[in-house]
Amino acid sequence: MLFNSIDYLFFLFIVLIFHQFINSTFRLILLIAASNYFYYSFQPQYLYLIYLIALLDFFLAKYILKNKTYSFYLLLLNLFINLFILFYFKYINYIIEILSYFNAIIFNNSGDYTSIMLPLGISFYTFQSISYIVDVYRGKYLPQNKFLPYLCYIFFFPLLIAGPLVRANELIPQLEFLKGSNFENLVKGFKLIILGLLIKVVLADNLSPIVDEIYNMPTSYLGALDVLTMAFIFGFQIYFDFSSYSMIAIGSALLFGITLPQNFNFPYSSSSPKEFWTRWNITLSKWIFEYIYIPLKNIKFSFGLNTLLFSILPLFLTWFIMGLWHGSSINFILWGIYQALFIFIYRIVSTFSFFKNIKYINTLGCFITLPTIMLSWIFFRARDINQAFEIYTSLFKVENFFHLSFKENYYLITLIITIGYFVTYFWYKYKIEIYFPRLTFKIFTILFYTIALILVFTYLEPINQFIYFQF
Amino acid sequence: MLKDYLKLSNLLIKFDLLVAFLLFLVVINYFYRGIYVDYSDPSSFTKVNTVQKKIEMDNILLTCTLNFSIDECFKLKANSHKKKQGIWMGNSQNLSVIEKHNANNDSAIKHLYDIMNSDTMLVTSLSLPNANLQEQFYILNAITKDYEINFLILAIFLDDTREFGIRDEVFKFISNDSASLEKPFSQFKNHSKSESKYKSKISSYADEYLPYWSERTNAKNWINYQLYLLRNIIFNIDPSTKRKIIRSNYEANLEYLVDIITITKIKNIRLVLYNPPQPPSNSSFYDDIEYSTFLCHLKKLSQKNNFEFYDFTNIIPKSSWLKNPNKETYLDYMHFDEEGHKILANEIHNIIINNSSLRYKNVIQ
Repeated sequence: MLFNSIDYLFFLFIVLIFHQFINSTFRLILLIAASNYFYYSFQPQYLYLIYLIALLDFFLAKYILKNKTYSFYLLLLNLFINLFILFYFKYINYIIEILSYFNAIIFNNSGDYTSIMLPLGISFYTFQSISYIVDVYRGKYLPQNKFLPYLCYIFFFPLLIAGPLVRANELIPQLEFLKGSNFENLVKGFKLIILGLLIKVVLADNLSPIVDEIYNMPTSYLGALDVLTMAFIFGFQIYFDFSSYSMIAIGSALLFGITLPQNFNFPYSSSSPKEFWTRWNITLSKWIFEYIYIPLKNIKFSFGLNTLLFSILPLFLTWFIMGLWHGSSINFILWGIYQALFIFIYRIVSTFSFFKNIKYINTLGCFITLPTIMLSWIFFRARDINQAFEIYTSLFKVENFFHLSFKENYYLITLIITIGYFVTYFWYKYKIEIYFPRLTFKIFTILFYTIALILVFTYLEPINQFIYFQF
Repeated sequence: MLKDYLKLSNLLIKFDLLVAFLLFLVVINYFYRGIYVDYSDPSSFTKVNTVQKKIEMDNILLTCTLNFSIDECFKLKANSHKKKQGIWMGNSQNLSVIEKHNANNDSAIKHLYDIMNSDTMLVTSLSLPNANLQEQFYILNAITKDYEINFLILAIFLDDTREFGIRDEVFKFISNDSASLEKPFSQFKNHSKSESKYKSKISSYADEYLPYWSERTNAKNWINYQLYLLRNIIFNIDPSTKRKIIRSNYEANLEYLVDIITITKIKNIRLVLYNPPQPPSNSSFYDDIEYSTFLCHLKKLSQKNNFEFYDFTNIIPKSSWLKNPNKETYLDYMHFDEEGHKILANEIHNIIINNSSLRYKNVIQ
């Protein structure tokens, strides 16, 4: 049941009606039942996995608190099981592929292998589970006494498939005291859902066929402008797609009186890669920072690494893991290393006092960060590593500089979207609405939501699933 | 007065979404009622009288389109073994759309059927809007896997070489089961298959009971058409605007043409390739150099691979085209009337039967 389908809206409406009118003690059960149904509509065969992880965490967390002597080993056991499940489902196909390749070469035996389907949302709910156990171990959070709020924390349908990644202390207290949603939350929630749907069905879904077309085209005649267009157009597609998913998730949760953290904050207006990662998939970035980067940084190596290597190793390892988390293909790993390299260069450059004195350093930073980040998405979207490198090489083909490889419309669309994005960003940043009389602005808002509703009504089709479902 | 204003202001602020929803209902009711024409078919909303016709003769479908399956198009014909089977592939201009249409008019394929001895030969047209050669290749490949084809007539438009990639409807056509098929080269797989079972129930309810729900495709086409008009107005695009080739797509299309030629050789299919008629105008809407290079390339390819190639640029007289193509009718400046279709059918007939062109003497072979 995709968020961008009439089925989901119908489902949400039914759950909301029940939620508003039933006794508060049954609200949690309702949300768990709804989440069961939601996941069942996608992959009933993997429902057991969520229960298994939830039960394991719930009991191990209790033991971690009770047995101080063995708490570290219990933590390791939990991490091992969670990561084993994650790795097994995410990378087993890739491992089988490699093994069968060697099998064919060495033993001349080419057997047929059935690939294993990735359980939807596994990367997100295992991360939530890990953060809970680690927080309990670190003493930041007391283990849950009641199983149902914990189950719902792992299982809450708006964030089950693709986040936002929430911590136990952000969600469980809200689940323990569920109230009927107030008028303000309902309006906010519906507005976010409408906005999310508008961005998904009108922008992301309409960019999708263009992206498919240009990434399927031969790369031999691509020039620099074409490569930038490819990078920008996919960069916007993935942004619209993922941020709209987060908006619908946050809006849906708000309907039940639950506040989820913001996941995107105009990331493409960032003036540095560091800032970008505080504005793009914010909850995942924070998770990676807290549970991977900081622990790696705190490891005291004793095998004589020199200072520079010692300082950059956690950065590159973190981004290697981040790339691997997105997928087993080498493209994702290279994407991670690209990000690490960009951050590393930024760290060095930002230490020079010369740059600090430049008047419009933030604007300049944005002009550098935006295309560099956009270009990194080519690793994400290219069908394989060869295509990715062919596209990157085309950036420097001087002979192709002056001719265009795509339909004229595609350059125009990329330009319009880029301008539209920055207009929207400045509107929010400088709160343009305060320059309008209150009533005029409200009328404008009403017209905006009227048009948004018309467009959502017209374009709502579950033709494209969300890109982040595959991660 | 001020009190009233403040009351209204406060109400709007509090219930803005509700007001927007009510406005949405009013607008959608008005907007969707206005969309009574089919915006997926240019003939129904451009101000010219063109039409696409489905033609069936003796229960045999002559005009195959993507709305049918390969079996629907060819199964019956395959039963009549004595007939030579031919496919005429191209886009709407040559195969389906008739300019200045009235109810009795027929397209080239019907005229070809009338003049051809249908006891010995049967030609099925396969019309594809903006047909690129990659799609043509996959379609031909799919058809020839199951059915014996004796000759292939292929119209190749320079304009259509701007297109590349395989559209969903083409996938559906060649697979007969779109749900099980994944696009090649697409990294992002479609998981919506499990959705479709459940979706269909709710959607069919919505189609039946939710006002205007089933008419949304038309509304989408209307919006796309308005955007198209807007772009043309802003950038002053009209029929006379030169259409430049897209080099990578052009080259890739020509590579697929070579693949088509290979199939015809392997399957022993006679290939007749032609450059379709162009509307008469003082200056071509193609770049002159690009157009002549294109024709030259096809000529060389035909010589090298020993198939027939005909250039039909000027075979349709001026009277058969739209008189004054202007900004309102630019969607349909490419189509000609029934007389034009007759001329084209005669040409094709003569080529198939006599291996020569009737009117256009400058045949390249």
